[in-house]
Amino acid sequence: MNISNPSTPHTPDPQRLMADHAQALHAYARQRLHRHELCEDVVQETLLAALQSANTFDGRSQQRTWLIGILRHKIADHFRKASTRHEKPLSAIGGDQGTLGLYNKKGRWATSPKDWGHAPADILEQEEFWQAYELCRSKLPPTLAECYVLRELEGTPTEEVCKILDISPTNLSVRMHRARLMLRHCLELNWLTDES
Amino acid sequence: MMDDRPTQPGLVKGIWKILTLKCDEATRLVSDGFDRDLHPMERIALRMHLISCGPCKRMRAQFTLLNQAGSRLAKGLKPAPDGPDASPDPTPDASPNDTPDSPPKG
Repeated sequence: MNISNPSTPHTPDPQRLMADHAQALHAYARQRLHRHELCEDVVQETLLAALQSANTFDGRSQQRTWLIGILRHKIADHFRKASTRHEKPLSAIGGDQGTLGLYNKKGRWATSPKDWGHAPADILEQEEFWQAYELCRSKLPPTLAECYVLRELEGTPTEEVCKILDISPTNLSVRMHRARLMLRHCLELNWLTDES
Repeated sequence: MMDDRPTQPGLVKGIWKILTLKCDEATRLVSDGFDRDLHPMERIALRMHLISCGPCKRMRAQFTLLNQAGSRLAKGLKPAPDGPDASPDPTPDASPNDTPDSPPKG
């Protein structure tokens, strides 16, 4: 007899599932969606789906990994439903505001971006950076946030993001560019200030 | 010896782009580079521009950093609130999202 997995692999106990993973799932959702209630909904849906489809869990992957996989689908579903679902004229995605007045009319720098002054590896170890990152990401306008999260935090392939949000590649490109500009602008304001 | 194919419209446009790429277009290309394969012409144009443009180079470094931050989150390498140094309290409601030292706007 070879019982490789000590805990019954195919029928997770709901209580146990909650206790073991709810917090981590919540934290994961929280990084991607900024409304607290929304995170709770998505996590609950995930746990529910997990219980319903417990037989698809083959025990090969970690339970946590499996749950995160479900959660990611739930998050994509959310964006799919909530997507503004139309080609907004690009001017509506922030217009000139979208590029934050960084460029002048000739397309050159009006205000030059600051030097962040640390090696990237160091920055990514800074707690303050991550706090500011969280803050700034949650401040992105929804049209930008949805595609930014799907693309950069979820690593969803570009075409897939276009499909989920029902937008053209050009529209995605503009949104991503603006999201990145806004994010780094916000970081400059909220994270770099204590130094310099 | 002459290539008898009609001149590709993309070629002239491409060379024009190489010669005239501006900073806003350059950062857009940098951004695009994370989301799709750049056309060879775009790549050359961008590279030429970056040689001489410090601010754009800085921008590229910063976009790259954002991208790395994103993929860290994607890989779950940065499980935010319950990191090792955070106090292990089990209440999910106590999310430390209210940053203490950031006034709304100056």
